[in-house]
Amino acid sequence: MRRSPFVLAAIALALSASCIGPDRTDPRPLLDRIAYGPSPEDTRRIREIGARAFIEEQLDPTSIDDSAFEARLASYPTVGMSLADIASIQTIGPDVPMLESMDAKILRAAYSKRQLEAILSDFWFNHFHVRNDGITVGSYERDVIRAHVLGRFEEMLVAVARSPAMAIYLNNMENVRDGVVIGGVERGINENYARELLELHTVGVDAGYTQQDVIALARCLTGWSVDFEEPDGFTYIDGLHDKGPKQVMGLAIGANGGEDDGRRALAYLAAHPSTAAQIARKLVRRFVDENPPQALVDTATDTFLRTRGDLREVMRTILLSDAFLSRPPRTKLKRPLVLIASTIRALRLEIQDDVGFYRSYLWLLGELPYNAGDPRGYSENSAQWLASGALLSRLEFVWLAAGRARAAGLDLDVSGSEPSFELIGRIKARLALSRLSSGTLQPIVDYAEWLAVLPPDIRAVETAGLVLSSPEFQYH
Amino acid sequence: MRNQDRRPRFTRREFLRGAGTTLVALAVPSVWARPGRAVGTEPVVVSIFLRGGADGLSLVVPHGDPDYAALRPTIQLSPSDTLDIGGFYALHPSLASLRPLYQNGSLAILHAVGSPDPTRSHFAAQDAIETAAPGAHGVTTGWLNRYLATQSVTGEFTGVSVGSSKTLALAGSAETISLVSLDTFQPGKFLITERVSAWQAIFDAWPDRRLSHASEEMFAAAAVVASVPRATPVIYPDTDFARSLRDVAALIKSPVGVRALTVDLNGFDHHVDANGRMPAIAGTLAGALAAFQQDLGADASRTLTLVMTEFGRTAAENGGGGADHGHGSVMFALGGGVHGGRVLTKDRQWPGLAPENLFEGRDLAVTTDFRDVFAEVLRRHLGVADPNVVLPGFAADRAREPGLWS
Repeated sequence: MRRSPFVLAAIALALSASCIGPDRTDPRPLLDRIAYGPSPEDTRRIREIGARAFIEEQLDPTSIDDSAFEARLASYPTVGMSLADIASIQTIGPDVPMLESMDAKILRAAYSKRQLEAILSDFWFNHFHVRNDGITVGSYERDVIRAHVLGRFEEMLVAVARSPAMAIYLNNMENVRDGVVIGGVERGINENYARELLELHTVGVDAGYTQQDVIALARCLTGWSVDFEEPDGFTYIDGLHDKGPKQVMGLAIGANGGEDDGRRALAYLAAHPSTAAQIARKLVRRFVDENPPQALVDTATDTFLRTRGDLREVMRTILLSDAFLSRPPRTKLKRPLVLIASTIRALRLEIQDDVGFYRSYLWLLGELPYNAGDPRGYSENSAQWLASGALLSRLEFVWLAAGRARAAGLDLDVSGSEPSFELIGRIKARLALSRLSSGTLQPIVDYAEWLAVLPPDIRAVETAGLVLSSPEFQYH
Repeated sequence: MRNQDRRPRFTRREFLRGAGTTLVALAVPSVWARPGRAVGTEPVVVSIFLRGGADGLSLVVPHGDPDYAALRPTIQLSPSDTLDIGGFYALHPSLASLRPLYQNGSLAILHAVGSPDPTRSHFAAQDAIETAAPGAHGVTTGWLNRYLATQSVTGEFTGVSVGSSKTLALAGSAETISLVSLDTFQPGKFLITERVSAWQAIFDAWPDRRLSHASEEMFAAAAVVASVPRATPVIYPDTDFARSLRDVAALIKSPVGVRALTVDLNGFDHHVDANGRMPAIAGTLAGALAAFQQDLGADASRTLTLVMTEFGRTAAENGGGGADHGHGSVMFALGGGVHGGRVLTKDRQWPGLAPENLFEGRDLAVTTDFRDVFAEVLRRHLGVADPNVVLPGFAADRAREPGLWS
């Protein structure tokens, strides 16, 4: 038996009245963007200390005890290994470190209390994307990326330039002065890394640099090479370095320099106003809106320049801004990793030996960790993630996740035999969804009514699956 | 309630019957049935990319070259181990199931083929070939997508990547889709009509219109996939690659109108232990291709399968029983009415493995630009009068075409 439209409208109003429009006291929209969705602990913490203090806490990740998450990583022995160690155990092949690095990323997103740091690590990894080779990627994300996400941009840029991961991925290890003969073969400049360094990593494609700037930057970075015996895998080989004078955009570098040519070029690019603007815009796009409000981009750019690229200050500017705190909710489709981690957090799923389930759905959804097809990394663009094949897998994933939760003994705070509106209201609360629009609620009520004669377990899972597949959960 | 009149007629009892699991298998509702289309007559191209840089000198061994054996003291294949195809060349023993196709003239081999871009980066070289824009930076559309864009018929099912994500060759403005497999895209298992009705109502009410648009496409694509008959009498090998080709064959044989498909085969980056690793992966390739060709049946004549890789490997073996990133390699052209049974090289000349003939002193030279192959495929097989429309920045010239149909 169906309820009348009038009754449904009344239920919709009742369920949504608690939060109409942005609500600064509601922790959930905050956790949608600076965390992989709300978890009960984080929701409680914000209620205790307030949103601003919570943001400050997240901006200082070492102040947060994350030992419970670190303990989970114990079953992934290659994750904590140094670069030198992992490079020396290649008898086990790249497959184990490759899988473990991917699985650690899923666990970190789902369970680390340093949620903002996890999100920023993913953001900056994609900014400085390399492909998963099963050797360098774990230490690259840990020592090169995560170590710097709330530090100075220039330090991260230099660490990336020194990393074997990037040197191999964008061929800087093959970038040597023209005419040098190696193994009987005449070698020369490889501009692959220099071009991406300008276009993707720093000033951006519209900054007005020329082909000559690309080549000059590549020449600055000749001799920057790889040595896995060194702690960070870096070595500088002066015999491969181009000693001629160079002009990189506005920076003149005299003849007869060495390793410092590269350092100076990186420092120049890190401090360039175009870099500040590109980084600010990208961060605002990630945290605030895909059409980034220009005023906030400008303020964040100013912060970047004023603090000489202090990324903690840039993040503070963005996260404490009105544009962030009062943004309209749910304007972005969740990327697959965000969807999967937020589902684990919302359902309170415990990953034991079944991380492969989540990894395979990341693969089906097109975001297998560290596996983006080009140096741009995975896209932040909702439209790209709305590809038709992936949408089906999204729906399937949340349905299976709801089933797993129930099978694992999580009752989702429902028996399944409640009246439909009560069932939905309880599930909604359990998933920490702040509001269901009437356009979403009515079809779910219809579905729950239609399921009414089924066993309560099935009705609970089916209803939860539909709630999780709704745009209220799929967007953030 | 929206779509009330499209409600299915199955009952809760039927729902219950399969209700032991979350995924309830039900018959595909008739609401998805589409008017049939005549079985295709249009040309189809299947692009298979061997990722990692496949060693052309091991896949198609130039025994006639006096320098071959000395370059590879430990990884050479002896004439008695390989499958002779005309004296000078021989196939890797694991390609045995391709030899009958070569002998009956449906398989042509191109040798010393590759990209003019000297890069030895996998990514750069793969991108160069899939975009057909070697050396160009910033080309983000694939050559097969640009081909589809020249065709008057477009739709999500003209271009299909079978695999984990859409290949670059199919990326671009023409609508194309990727699917991991037909089975994971099977609506009967998951898209029961009650759920679909609920989703449609929910997504239609959402302010971001892109969501309802995407879901409409997805439900439509699912409906098309549902109409693809999967049954085949052909027994494919038990590999993921073979299952992908089985799906490709099913799509081609069905009336859904596919024109360009891509499948990847990973595992050719043999820096070490080439003789240990090549047999399995070459066998995977050949076994699946042979089954696929048999499965295509009458559609084989309109379906050209191109097998390519980003680059070959060094002519000399390295210290680890493998070979490092090189330059020229092989391509296979199967079906589509090619004049096969031949190994095609530029001007019928083998470039040679003597030191002075090697590219940069170490690799098999590229004497046939892969774009000349693409140009001939576009012109002769796909009916694109001017291949330059699809190959911007390249001055296609019939005189340079390798002569697959000559």
